[in-house]
Amino acid sequence: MSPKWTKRLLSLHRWTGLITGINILILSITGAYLVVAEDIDAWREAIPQNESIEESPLTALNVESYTNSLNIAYRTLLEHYPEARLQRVRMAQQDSIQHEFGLLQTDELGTEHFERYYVEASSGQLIDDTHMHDHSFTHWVLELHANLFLGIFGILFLAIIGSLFLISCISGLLVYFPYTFKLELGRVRWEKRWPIILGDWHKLLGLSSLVFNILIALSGVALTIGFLLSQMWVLQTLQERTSQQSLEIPLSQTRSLTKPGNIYQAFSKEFEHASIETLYYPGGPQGENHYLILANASGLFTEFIPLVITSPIHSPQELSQLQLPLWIQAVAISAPIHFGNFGGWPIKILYVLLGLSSGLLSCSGALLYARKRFRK
Amino acid sequence: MPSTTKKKRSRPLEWTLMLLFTLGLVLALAGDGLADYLGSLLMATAFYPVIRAFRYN
Repeated sequence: MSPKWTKRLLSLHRWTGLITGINILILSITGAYLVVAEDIDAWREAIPQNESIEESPLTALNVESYTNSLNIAYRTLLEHYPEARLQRVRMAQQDSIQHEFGLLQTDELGTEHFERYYVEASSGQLIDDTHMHDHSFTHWVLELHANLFLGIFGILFLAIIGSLFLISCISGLLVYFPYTFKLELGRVRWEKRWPIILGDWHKLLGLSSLVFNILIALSGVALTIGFLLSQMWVLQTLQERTSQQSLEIPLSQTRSLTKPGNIYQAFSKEFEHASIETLYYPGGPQGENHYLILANASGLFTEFIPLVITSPIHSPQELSQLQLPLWIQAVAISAPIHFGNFGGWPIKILYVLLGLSSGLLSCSGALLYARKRFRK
Repeated sequence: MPSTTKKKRSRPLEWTLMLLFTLGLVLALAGDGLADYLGSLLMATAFYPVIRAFRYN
């Protein structure tokens, strides 16, 4: 590479690094926390999760008992909160033993509040209020990480930061990689002054976390822009489909809602190797006349691609799957790569360490720049 | 640019480490159980340069 190009790339690396620096530091710290947030929350709230899993593994529950537990919980909640409207049910998966029911409740002023209730998947009994999840801190961190509390503008801003970070990583690779061959791998020149020591560590950390950083930046951009676009596509397609179908349904016949267990049963018959993640009751994005099911299939990589299924309110057993285009499937696969939730605790530990090293990279890069800038 | 007196290395170990990390990630993504552990082991090789930096000094 000619010295002219090296200088250009170095300048690009420096400026993209400086622009993204503080954001990458925030994203790396919050991201490292979010990787293990679920485990920390479960441990902090001391929900007797593991004990119950050992006593009655979810895998041992057959369709009938799973269906019963959902229906018992549905009935119990309706008895306790007759005025509430069920919005969604997050069904127990392999790593959790409780269903989460989301209810919309109206207070005296007519304002609607969303409340979560947890029930045991084995029995359908409501879990005591004192054991309710309090995810306020995790939710705060998640908001900061995902949109900097700026909603859609924050998401778009982070998409730009992710793209610049990607450019910074690649330009760093192009500029420094030829020079690393002249150094012994892992050599830090401790005998030199601190800027050289810091520079050597910057290169070492950059090298160690390079592939991770590129993947995180790519998947982060996919999750921001790609997720927004895929959400728009799904919502539009769902609305088109459900509005066409709803023309055929007399609204007067569609007011009675079925129990979640019945939908689960119909789903289990048709999709043997899949599990429902969330069941949305009518009134959500799919419209007033349909249930919406988001499910996970099993299989190589397909486990990360959601199944989007609707069923009409008057005939919940008639399931109809929405075919997702390839680009949405690619966006879906980028989620586990970004979240690090695909391989148990070893991957989580690696993600935390690599994530924090990205933050250290931005700090060391800024220090190196400041030293050079103020030395002149 | 770092000026060093060390002779130029012939084998770019960095490429191998990056390849191992990528293979580990794909393995952990695709499989379960043992594949996860193997995959994370391969991904952990990314820290080899850092470990070596401590060993040097």
